[in-house]
Amino acid sequence: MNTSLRGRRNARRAAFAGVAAVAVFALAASPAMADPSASPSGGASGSASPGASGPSVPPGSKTFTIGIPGDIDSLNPYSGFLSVSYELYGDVYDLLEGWSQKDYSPVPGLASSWTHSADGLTWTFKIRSGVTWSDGQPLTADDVAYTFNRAINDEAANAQYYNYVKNVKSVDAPDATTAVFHLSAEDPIMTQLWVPVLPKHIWEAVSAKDSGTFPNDAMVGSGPFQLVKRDPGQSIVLKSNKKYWGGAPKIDYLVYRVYKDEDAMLQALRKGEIDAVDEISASGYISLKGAPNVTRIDATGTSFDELGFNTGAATVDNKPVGNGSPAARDPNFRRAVAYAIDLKSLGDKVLQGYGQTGGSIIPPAYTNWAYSPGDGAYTYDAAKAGQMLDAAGYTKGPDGNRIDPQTHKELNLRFGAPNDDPRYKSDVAYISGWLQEVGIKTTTQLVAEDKLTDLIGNGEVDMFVWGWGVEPDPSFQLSTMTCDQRDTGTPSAPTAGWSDSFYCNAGYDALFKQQGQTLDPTARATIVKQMQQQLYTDAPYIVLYYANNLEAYRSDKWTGIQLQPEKGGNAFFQMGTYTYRSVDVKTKAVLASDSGGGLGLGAWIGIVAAVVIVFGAGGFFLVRRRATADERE
Amino acid sequence: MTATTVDSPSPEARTASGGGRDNRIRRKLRVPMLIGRRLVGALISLLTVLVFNFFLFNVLSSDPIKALVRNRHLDAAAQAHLRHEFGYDQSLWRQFVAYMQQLLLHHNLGISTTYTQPVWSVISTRIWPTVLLVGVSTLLSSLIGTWIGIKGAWERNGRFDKISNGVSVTLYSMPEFWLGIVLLLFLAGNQVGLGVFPLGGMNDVDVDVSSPSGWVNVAWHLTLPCLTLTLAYLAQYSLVMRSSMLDEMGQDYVRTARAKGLRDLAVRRSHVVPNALLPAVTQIFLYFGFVISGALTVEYVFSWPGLGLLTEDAISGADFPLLRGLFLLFTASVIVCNLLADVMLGVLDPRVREL
Repeated sequence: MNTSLRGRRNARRAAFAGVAAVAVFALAASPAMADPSASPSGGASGSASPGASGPSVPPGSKTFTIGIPGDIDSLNPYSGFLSVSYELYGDVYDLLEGWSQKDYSPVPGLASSWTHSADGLTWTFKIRSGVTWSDGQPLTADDVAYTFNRAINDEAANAQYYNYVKNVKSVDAPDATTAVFHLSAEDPIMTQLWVPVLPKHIWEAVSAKDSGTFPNDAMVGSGPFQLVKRDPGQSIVLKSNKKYWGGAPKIDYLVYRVYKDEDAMLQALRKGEIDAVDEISASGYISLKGAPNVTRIDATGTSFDELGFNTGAATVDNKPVGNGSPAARDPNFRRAVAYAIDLKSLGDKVLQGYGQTGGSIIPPAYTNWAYSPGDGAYTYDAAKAGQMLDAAGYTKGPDGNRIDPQTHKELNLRFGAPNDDPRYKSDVAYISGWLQEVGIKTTTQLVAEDKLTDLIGNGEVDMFVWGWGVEPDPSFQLSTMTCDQRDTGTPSAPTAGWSDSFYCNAGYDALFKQQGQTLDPTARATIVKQMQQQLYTDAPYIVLYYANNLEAYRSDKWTGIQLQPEKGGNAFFQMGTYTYRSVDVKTKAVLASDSGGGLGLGAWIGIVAAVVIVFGAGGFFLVRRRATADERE
Repeated sequence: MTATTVDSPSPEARTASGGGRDNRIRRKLRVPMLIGRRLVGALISLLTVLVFNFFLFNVLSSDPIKALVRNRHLDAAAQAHLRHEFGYDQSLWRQFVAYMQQLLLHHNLGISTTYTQPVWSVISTRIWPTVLLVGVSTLLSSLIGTWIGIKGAWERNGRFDKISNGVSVTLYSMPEFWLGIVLLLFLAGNQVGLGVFPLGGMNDVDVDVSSPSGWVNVAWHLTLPCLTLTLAYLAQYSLVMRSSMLDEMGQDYVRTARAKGLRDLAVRRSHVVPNALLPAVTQIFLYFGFVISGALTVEYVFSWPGLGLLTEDAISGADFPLLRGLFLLFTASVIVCNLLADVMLGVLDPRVREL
């Protein structure tokens, strides 16, 4: 189950990570929180369709159904948080740019092309003409300018999309097909703007204070799909936009259906009640081996789990925080630990082999950015780890445990991890075992995520296991290792405080700044890899593994599945709608027999159930009547 | 159910024979007075729960802001701003007053932090699925369970008694989610099972739930979760009814009835059962109180979009306003059903009115 979709782990998209730090902030900041009666009536938050009656999907339509482990949290792209909500926004709204199916490189979206001035401070986007909103109104550059200006000025919108507009001063639309962005500083993120373009004529009626709580039930968009109905807790039904500028999807309907229990979801796939599943567990994936008509997809993941160290908890003005062990601050100690951990067998045991061995903080799925340590990698060698520890002064005491050379006391590292995911528990158990083998004693602290955040932030643990989801652009992930992101700083930038290792290196920070000003992708990639190399050497994190994204679909019925990235990528929940637009039924015959048979029998059983109820109740009253009749005897 | 007056001389019979105008007025007022007393009691319970409910979550969550920002780091200024906007910078007492004011004067339970919509609008869409599921299953298991209890007790240690007792107690001792998964695998899934029923949800997307075919579709989806709950709770009713029957069967009035020469069936129907039903009826009403809090695990297994699933979401999202709203609803429904049980018992059993 991916309940961990929320929180730190699954930042599949940019909006999850850097920007969402303050997502709830703006929502809460709106006075509407205290007075919901003031929010404009967008209808009840329940069913989304304008005409609630009637079936959402006419029987016999080409409907592609994906099982999801939980409902979306909001139809409003200013307040949604879960990855399934972002998935929905990506289906219903257009983005200016896309990410290529091949390797995530920028491709045209609603903007057919763009150019920037020599200094990188003025970006001009050519907006497609002839595009209409789902309510029939024409989409123009004016809508684009409105969307981005709102993302700059509106608190809720800014909180959600801060990362994309942090360097944008304003946007204007000189004509219907041109949008001009004025920047205060160069920013490579301009080619990866994950900001849904919203209709001005709808949103200008929503006041700033209602931004976060506006129900947005109609979800007027210009994307390849349009919202038909949302059944809270149960399903989201989308209809394909036959007039979509990128070509009409081949299916008629795209449905997301909630299956809380993974076993039930996998049974539904086997039976054909749903057509695809995404992010299933390794054991679930293994159980589908040999399932008739099901094809499995073992995609390279874009998230990682790490062993992080408290490399010296401090505020941004270098005031020390907490009581971290000096050992964790010592790069030699951390490197020795890296040799003491058998990453290969950790991945085999914890992920049952469905993952890649850890390396850099940018996952190898992002081929353009990821750094590979190659020959310089820390390969498991307990003897070498022992020698390194001896050399660094961490000699063994009488009972075999190593002594801290500074305090002359036995080392006992506090080892924290979130208690909500069995995976973290396994990580911690294996790692403590390997550390004990080289004489490093640890005390495990499995706690709730918010408690762990406190412990880390207050510098009260020495090391921890946790995870991150990484977006295609490397900026945010790299930023978490800069000095500015250390905790409890002065109230400054809204995203301050993302660092949990408290890593701080002036050289690294200079490179970070430099990559942010380098618009040429190849030159930027060189700097980005250099930064990753620095991190790998200093080892504030030891990246444990990249879990694969495990998916499966009904290959007897469906064809046209597209992978992103092309090599070893995933088919669903992509950066874009490649699969959803190209997937099609294999033959008409298959469609005709489509699960309709069960309904007939089911209907009968439903009727039987109803009859049982009626007879049960009838019998009860009969008994009572007879009882009174007897009395009259 | 006046059989009691025949065989067991009740206080009711005595006062009635005493006659007198005052007594007659008192008797007329007895039921309303009983209801009034219970109503006051229920209101006091509800208020206690409200207070407890408010402070409970303040104890649980060390920092509501941390819960609100979903465990993300947030800079100090933003946290302070949040705290102020939500009123968390005020004293607990003033927060409580504000909460009660919003609740009682504006009927406002706050905004769900997960769904960013008013708590009540989130909850209201989930009530009916749960009432349907747990209501139908409680009705079925109470009717069937009561019937098993009556029949089993009458033929005590007979074959029916032994089998029904064994089966219902076995089902009762199974965790309901396990029973649910077994039923799901064998009746809904087609890997090892029959594949007859759907694997989750309340209705298909290609039906109109407001049409007769839509109702059938809902009933079809309802069958398995409802069956799970019905089977799991049969013993709860059958055992109470059985022991209550056995108690009554040993009473003198039963012997009298037999001595009068009444047929076996008549003794059972008009003498034993009505008296034995009293504790069972109370119990059924009490369990109806839990109808609304749903069957979290069964809703989970069958992805039934009710309050149980919503509670699970609220817990995993640390959505305290939503949890508060749900807890309030759950406790209120238990209190209301308790009240109904008391009143029903008063109506059914004249002895209670005297108390």
